[in-house]
Amino acid sequence: MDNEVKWPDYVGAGHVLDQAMNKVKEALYNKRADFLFGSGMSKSSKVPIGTELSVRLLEEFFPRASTSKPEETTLKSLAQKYPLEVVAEAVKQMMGGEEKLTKSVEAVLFKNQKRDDDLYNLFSSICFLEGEPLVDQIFTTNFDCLFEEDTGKKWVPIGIEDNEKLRKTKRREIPKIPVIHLHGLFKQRCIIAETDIFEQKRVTNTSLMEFEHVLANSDVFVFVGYSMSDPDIRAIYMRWRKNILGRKYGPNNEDTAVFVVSPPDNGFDYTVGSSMWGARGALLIPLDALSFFKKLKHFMVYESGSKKLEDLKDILKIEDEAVLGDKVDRLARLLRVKKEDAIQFLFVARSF
Amino acid sequence: MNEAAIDTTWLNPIIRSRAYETRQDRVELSQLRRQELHAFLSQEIETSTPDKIIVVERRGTAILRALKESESYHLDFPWANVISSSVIEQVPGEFYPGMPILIFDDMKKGGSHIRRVIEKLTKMDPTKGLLRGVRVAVFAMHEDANSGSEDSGSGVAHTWFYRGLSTPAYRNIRLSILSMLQSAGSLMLDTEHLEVRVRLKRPFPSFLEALGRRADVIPFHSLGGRRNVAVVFRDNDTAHTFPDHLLPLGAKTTDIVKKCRIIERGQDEYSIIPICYPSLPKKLPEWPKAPIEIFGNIVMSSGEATFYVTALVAALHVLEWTLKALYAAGEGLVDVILPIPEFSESDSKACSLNHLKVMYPTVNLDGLSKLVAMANKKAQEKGAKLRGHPVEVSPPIEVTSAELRRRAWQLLQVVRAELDQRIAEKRLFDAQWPVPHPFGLSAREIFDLAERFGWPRVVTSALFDILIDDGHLVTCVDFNLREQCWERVFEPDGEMVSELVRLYTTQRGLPGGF
Repeated sequence: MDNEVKWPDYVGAGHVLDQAMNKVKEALYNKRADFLFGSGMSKSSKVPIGTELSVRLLEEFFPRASTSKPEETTLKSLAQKYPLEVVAEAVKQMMGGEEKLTKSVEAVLFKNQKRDDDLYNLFSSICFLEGEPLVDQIFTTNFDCLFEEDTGKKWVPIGIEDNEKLRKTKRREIPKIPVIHLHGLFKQRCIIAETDIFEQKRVTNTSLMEFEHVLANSDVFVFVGYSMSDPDIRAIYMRWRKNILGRKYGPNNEDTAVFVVSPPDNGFDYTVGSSMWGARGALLIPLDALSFFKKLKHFMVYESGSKKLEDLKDILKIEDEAVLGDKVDRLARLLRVKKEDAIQFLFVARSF
Repeated sequence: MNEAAIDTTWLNPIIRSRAYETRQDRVELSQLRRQELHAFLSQEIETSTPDKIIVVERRGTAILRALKESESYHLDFPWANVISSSVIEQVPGEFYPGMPILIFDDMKKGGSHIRRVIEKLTKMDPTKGLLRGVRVAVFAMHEDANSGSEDSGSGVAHTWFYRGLSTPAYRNIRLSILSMLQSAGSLMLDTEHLEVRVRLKRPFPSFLEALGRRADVIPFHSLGGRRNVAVVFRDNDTAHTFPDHLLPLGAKTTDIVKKCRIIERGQDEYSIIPICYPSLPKKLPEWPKAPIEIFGNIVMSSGEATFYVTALVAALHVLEWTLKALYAAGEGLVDVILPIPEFSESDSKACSLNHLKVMYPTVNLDGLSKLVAMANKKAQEKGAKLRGHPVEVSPPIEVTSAELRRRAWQLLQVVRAELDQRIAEKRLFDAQWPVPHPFGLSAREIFDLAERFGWPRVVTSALFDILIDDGHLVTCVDFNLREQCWERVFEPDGEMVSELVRLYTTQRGLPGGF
């Protein structure tokens, strides 16, 4: 089958990762999969993330606080030295408040931003693969609403002050899927600086409580483009780490049900990352967000092992999945339709 | 009955979605769709505060009606400010005095419908001034659909509720919208037609028997489970002819759609919807007694406008024939409820003519209501005289719902095949020949195809209703170059339906005899 995203060479056969993709797929079909999008989800939109964001914030800091602007290398060094929330705290103090900091971050983030239709659309198409949503909500630590703006009004952004709106979506009074912004929204209030993150009332925030509940109960939780650098999220996660480590999923109890989608720079990075996430009870999926969702869709639509193709194998009395794959390919070419439609066609063809 | 909607609309469900497994699920989905459409449109109206909404025919209009008539998800936007995409160019530019304008369509894949609306608006105002205030709202976008700006080349803002839908998801959402419309009793062609209600005072079979006086009658159920009746008037019946002076010169009234649809609206309450589309002979036919006082000057503004007005005038006569048959059956059969003459949105749930503003933006509803009342009075007088006179009554034709739906699908297959054949012939000489819009078959041509199956005309007429209500067939007005006349044409609803029909035909072949 074409368009299939391959695992990086350093992964080896990728058998465990294939199992993980199957788990995500099955959990999605059962509406038991949840996602948290980090800034990596916006990387291809040219939104600065991690250290890069710290650098840009420090750029904002220095022209006001000092007469000479540091070199880029100095800024990078400082950004690596201090966590983002600490840099944000300094900028907040210097600027004189949260509102000004928020505006500054918004300007920095959207300086060269462009929309990433492909990624967001792809995720949306997975969520509505059969027409009805396969997710109840998604979480994000991003402050922007690029995802909601691109994918449509079925998604509704929920900021940290939108408790009532969140409750209404849960009760289906609003026929929309909440995108829960755990750190707030630009147009409302953003949690960026250290003092805000550790504010006492944050602990009882509905969005965070919802995240904690879902993390503890979903069959599969997937962090996409998220490095667990936020102290509040990390604290919640670590509270549940034991539970996550001990969680049983399906027939293979040894497999984890938390996945982290993040592209390592190389094989060494992957080895360290796998080990680090393993200790946290999660499996590292070494792909960027776009590749991950492409692969996931591929699994959901074509990949052998899915119930649909298994059913088709039974119906057509074909045991070899490669033979079935060829048959689908040939039919798709013959009818000039997508493979997805060719599979449906085979179903319809044999059901009369 | 919703089960049939799933099975016949897309044969077996294309994807065996868990969401569609039980009837209860489907009812809930239909409700959800209504809620979503309401949320989406309300939000758009609140955001862009449009002066006008242009609804893309046909589902766009039907959705608006379903929401306007919904108690739980009521949309408050006056019909007077809604215009059908079919008649945009029939009204002068002054009709769009302010901005902004919201174009609403329920689904987008190739985008041709919206593109055509934008082209029409651009044609009306080449400076594109009109477009500056335009916003497009599409409920569900296919993953292949572009995000909008390419449609116009002038950056018309687009917004959507669902986006990135795969083909199966797109089909399923379309299907649930159709289910919602049918359960709401909102038909695709509502805004073109007059509507009069009757309340039965005797059992339904007596009603059917009365309708069968000098007409062929077939009862059936719509997918929403509502009772329907198609009453078809015969061409050769001298009791059902049109006065010569009434229609444009040379209007052809045989081999056309000349019928009445009866649709269940509530307990013992039915809507009578007269439908008649005479063919018109010229690009702009002469009409000595054009009803300008009722429809305004647009009556003679274009051949298409004249066609639609002629249809409504002719439908008044079809209404009279139908009511006459009911009155002839005796006073105790039905109570006729005429549409409310005053234009008041609060009456929109009652039987009114307000919805006609969408297709006839300049219509004088007061005047039209008087014509309806006059048709009723004439029917009452004539019907009373006929009471007791022996007449041959056609018994209702009984065909099971499953059989009707099977035949509807077969008819759709042969319509698509015939159109494809014509495309192939054209492309023998010009490989790049672009398929024009509309590109459909006339009623006569479809009746001819159906005759090869040996089906009675009234059955074929019911098949038209089923196919249109299911969103399989759409209607347009076209100028037939060969016959040099304006006529009603019918074509499969877009590439999505066409592709499905072609796939089915490739696999299963055309019905026997074709």
